[in-house]
Amino acid sequence: MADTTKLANLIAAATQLGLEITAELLRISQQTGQTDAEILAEIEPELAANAALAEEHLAEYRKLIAERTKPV
Amino acid sequence: MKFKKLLFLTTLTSLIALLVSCASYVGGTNASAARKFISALDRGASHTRIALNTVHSLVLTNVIKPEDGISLTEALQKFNAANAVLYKFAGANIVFDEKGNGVLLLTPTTQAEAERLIDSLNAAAIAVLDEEVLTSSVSNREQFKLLAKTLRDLSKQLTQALGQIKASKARSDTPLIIPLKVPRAEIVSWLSMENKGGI
Repeated sequence: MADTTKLANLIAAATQLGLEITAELLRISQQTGQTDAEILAEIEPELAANAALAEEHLAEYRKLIAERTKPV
Repeated sequence: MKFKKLLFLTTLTSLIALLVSCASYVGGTNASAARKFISALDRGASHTRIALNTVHSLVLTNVIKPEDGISLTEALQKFNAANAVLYKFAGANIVFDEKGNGVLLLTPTTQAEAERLIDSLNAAAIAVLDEEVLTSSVSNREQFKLLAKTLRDLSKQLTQALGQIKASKARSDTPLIIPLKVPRAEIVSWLSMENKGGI
């Protein structure tokens, strides 16, 4: 992988994580005005999204391994 | 490039540490035990997503190999599954008043179930940092220790909230008994899978 591509990936990854953490902090600050029932209701979709995200990432990693081991 | 990777990891570590410290503030000392329990479950779900995306970023930037990405993601998948079972348990055993404030009701049986589920969640958190599975460099292991610690801290907070609920129930003269609504077979099946090395 070229250095520029690596750098682009690095910046994209750092930006994505930065945005995600900012969104998380905002969500946490908003929770003070939420009831227990509202917070509990938000957890299930997030758990389901995590499961889907994990599957998506696993498929991507397997693809990367397959591409790496593919005969030239 | 190594310097940039190092800078990235250092920044990431600081950001995650900041997140943990801020998240710990939620459900402070005045919050009810049920609120703390729900908050810990909520943070478990959020931290899992962040950890999944962290691993993804590290694979895409070639800091770790895709093989390590698979191992870590599968471990996080198990943590998420453990959190999902505990979520169902909490949902079935928390009652809400008209203002939406929750109270976690426990019988001796459900209390024992909760303790077992929290133990399983903790075991899943520890498995995120499996020295046999993780074959990356020492600096990467340090990075994942932070993630694993974050996940383990959540199970500690759940245990503390549970302890607070048990203490408040001990003071109560009118213990409440409600039936276990979580399909018992589901929990037993999950625990049995865990004993076989999976969840």
